[in-house]
Amino acid sequence: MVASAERPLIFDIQKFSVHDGPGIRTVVFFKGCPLRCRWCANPESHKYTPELMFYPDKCIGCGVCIKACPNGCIGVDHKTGMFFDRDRCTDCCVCTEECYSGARRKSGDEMSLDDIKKEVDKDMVFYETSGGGITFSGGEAMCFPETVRELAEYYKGKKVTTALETCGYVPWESYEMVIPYMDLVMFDLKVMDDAKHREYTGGSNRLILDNIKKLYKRVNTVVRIPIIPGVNDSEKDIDEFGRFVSTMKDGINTVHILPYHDLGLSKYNALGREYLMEDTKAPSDERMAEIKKHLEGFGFNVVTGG
Amino acid sequence: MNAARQHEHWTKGSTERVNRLRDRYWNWKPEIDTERAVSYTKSYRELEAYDPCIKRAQALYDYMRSKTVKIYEDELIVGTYGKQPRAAIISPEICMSWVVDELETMETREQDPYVIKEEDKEILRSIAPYWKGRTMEDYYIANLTPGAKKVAFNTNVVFGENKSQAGGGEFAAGYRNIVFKKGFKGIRDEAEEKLNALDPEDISTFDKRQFYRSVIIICDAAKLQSERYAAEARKEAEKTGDENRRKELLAIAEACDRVPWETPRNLMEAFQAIWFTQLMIWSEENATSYCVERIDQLLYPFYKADKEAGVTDDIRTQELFDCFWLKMAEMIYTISDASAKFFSGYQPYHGISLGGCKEDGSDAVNELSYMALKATADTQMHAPTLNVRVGKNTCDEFMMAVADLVELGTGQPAIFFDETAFKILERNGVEKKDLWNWCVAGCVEPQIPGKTCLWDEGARINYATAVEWTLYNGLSKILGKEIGLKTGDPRNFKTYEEFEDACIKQMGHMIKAACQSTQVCERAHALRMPTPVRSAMCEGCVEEGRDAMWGGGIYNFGPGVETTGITDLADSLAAVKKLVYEDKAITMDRLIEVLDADYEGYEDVRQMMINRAPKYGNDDDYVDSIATKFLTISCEMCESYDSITGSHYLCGAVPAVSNVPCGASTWALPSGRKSGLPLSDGISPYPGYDKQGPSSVIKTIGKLDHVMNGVGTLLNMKLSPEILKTENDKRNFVNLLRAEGELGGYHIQFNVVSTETLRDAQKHPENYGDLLVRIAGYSAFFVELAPKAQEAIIGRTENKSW
Repeated sequence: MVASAERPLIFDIQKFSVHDGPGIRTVVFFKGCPLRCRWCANPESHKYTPELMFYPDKCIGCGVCIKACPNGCIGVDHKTGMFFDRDRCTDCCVCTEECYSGARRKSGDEMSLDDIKKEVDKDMVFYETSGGGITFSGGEAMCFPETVRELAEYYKGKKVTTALETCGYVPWESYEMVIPYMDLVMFDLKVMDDAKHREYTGGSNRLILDNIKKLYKRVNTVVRIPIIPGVNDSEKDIDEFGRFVSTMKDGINTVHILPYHDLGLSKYNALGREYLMEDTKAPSDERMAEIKKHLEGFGFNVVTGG
Repeated sequence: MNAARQHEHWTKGSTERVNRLRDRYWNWKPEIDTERAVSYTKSYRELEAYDPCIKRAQALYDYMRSKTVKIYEDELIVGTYGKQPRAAIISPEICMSWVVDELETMETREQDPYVIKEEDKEILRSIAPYWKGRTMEDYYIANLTPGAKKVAFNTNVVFGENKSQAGGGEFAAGYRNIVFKKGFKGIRDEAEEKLNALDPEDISTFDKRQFYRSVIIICDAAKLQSERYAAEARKEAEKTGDENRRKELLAIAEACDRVPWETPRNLMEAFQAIWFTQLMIWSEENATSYCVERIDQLLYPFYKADKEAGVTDDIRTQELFDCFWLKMAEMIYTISDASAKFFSGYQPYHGISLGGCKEDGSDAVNELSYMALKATADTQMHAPTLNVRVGKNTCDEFMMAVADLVELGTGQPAIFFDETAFKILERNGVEKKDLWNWCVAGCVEPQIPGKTCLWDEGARINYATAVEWTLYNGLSKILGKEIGLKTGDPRNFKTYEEFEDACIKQMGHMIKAACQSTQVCERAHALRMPTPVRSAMCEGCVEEGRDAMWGGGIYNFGPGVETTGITDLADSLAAVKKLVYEDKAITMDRLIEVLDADYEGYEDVRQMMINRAPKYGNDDDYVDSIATKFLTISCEMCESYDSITGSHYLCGAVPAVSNVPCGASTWALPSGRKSGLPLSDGISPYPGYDKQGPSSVIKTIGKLDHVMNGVGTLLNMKLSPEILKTENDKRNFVNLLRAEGELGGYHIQFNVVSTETLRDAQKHPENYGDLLVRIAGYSAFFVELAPKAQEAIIGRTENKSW
């Protein structure tokens, strides 16, 4: 368990999102997450601090970053061209201020509540026409419950719908703080077996399962399951999901199944991090349809892709 | 009304008849047709002594008497404007210069080639000498003012000669009030009555009397046209061994006996009346955008009556719609190589409107609205262009059906917001009582059908030229001539405001030349090319005894000056403001040095200009406010010029594909765009510069004053096919549209094709003969576009996920 940072960093505000709650939404991505799911498509969301992302394809080789870097991590190698010593990089991100082409980018900006509101407010007309609103995501937005609470309260007051995407791996007290202002929670379930859960996400699922059992009674909750081939897609896995969620039928009737994809791969490269799932392929449409049917057998409304 | 959205996903294909007609369409290649040229030359020679209106009316009559008349297998709606479907007719009285110059190249040219037979080349060569000095274009060139000539003629920078080589176009005939209420017989009677009421010896009413005579002659021509088709239908009926076809042909003959001379009595006659009238307009003047007012509203009473009487059902009705759509696709706008770069894809822009509201403001959508959408899905041709009116009261079900059609990826339909259109039209002087029936008559230009005379595109400009002239003190670098104003060396400008002021002056210079050139075009048309057919189809002309070209219609506004590149201007000025004057990241001197080199060797600076200054389309006021300001000023500037009919010129951000040729004549810009590349189109963001998704684009364009843009604004958005798959996706798409309406937007259209598909089509054009893409105010077959235009389409930012 990681303690929440004092001031949240935001690594993206994504407009016109339509798969993260009802209507047309703006998703605010908080930086920092207590879990380390191997398939995570947003590796820049893991750490709570700013990080340098470097996209070599965009680099035009102008060399302006060489002078800018205070640690001498970037230089010219006469054999291979420019080099970048990741190990010595401190993520100070000074180079990103000089880089012309956008090859070097800083992930994670300090944003005040007003900064966030200003950006989210811009699409107000779309929330009004569609019943959409704001979705808090991450990383794990619930690592910053005060900020989420203040924003959610503000948007509730504006008659805009509020939604939360959460991994569940945070103290219950954090949920208590935001429940009154949240219209919808999209709650991730990843693996039912605890040992396997620890192996693939870096954390136990006990707290997660405890949290959802309490949460669904207090707020409209949808379960989201990422379908990761070889990890949680066996008949047995699906059956376990089905049986567990069935115990909450008095509140939960919708399950989203999200097929694994590797679109986050370039970000791992940009962060200089290893991607451990490279051999994993996206589940076939047919397999997704089978899983959908399987879960529908438990009486749920199952949506593929969320 | 019954639920009418029957399919969540539409597919191509209709009845066997329609499928056969569609397959046969492709057997017709666009081919030069000299019948009209020969007939008109003969008539003009014989009528040298007469007034132009009489000459033109009689020439049309003679053409209707001599032209080839054929009815093809399976046709339910009959008639072609030329010797065969997809004929490229020549109008020698309008312009012969390019025809003669391009005789040997038109078959092999890159964009929109025409098949031409050797004998037709000979015919055209033989008539060319007669027309020397006699064409409308000759008048225009001879009388062009020196200033306009320098800046707006043959410069490829300001396109003032737009209307000098073709008919007026951009017109929606009065079907509701004229063709369906009076017929050509009724019009003839009125004209005759008016003529007889005038003293034949009074010289002061001579022009009026000549005008009435011209209208009488064209009404007779309309009668002659349909009579010849009636006779042909009977002849075919005798020949055929197929009893069903014999009955069909006799029914066709009966319809041709009746319309458009008299008013239609049933759905089939109504379709045929529209088609024959379109052929009349088209034969009078080969031009773009002869549009049809809302067809679902126009035909509904006939549909209802026929259905109640049990003489038709929905399958038969749909088949008629599909047949009419295929007819509309036969039209070819015959143009020079240079013009084909602007109007690529054999595209005449003949649009059909639908949807919108009834006279009381309530939702006008009916069963035929859905059939019109389905006709486009069934036929999937490049034409007609479908223009859907959407208002606050338009039902969600119809909006979802629109989404179904957009999903199909034919680039259809274009969507227009009623509330904004009403404001535009009211500002242009349209009375409140007429607003409800507006339709599109152009790519996007709003008009009141049968009451409005407006040239939407009198001239074309691109805003980026003003930036280039400011940077280079009046020099058009690619043209190599100083045709702009001397606003001074920008290195000496101390503030951004000085730079901006110079840019505004340059824009004024450009607009002045465009308007002055168009004024001469207007005179050329009015004097050399009166339009009795168009006048008969426009209320006010017969009442007043004045030709439409002299302002006889009830509403005259414009002509329009159509623009592209507002985005390039805004992105460029924002970059200059931020990086030169505020951040002082680069000096003006160095910027000019870099631009001189077209950014070659200065990729770092180019990346800085792109990445460190705000870009239009991201809901950022810093740059959006510049676009808003210049767009408004340009509208005011246009409106300070008067048409020969007394109305004001209007502005409108409507590009066609002019962003490609305009870009070809525009040097490198501070926005980071390199020399010669396409500009942004209409009010769309520059390809790749909008990073925030569709809602931010719509927020940006919502800041512009669409009402002042009297001939409209045009927004292109490219979507990947996977984003319109589910009902939920479509609902959000509908909500996106609703929001644009809320924000005061006027228009939006979509390309739903993946980049991979387009790339594959470039590699294997043989597999993609019927792949449609949205160009600007219309769709075209992708593989028929020149490589540069293909690249421009691919370059448009594709929104992959919502």
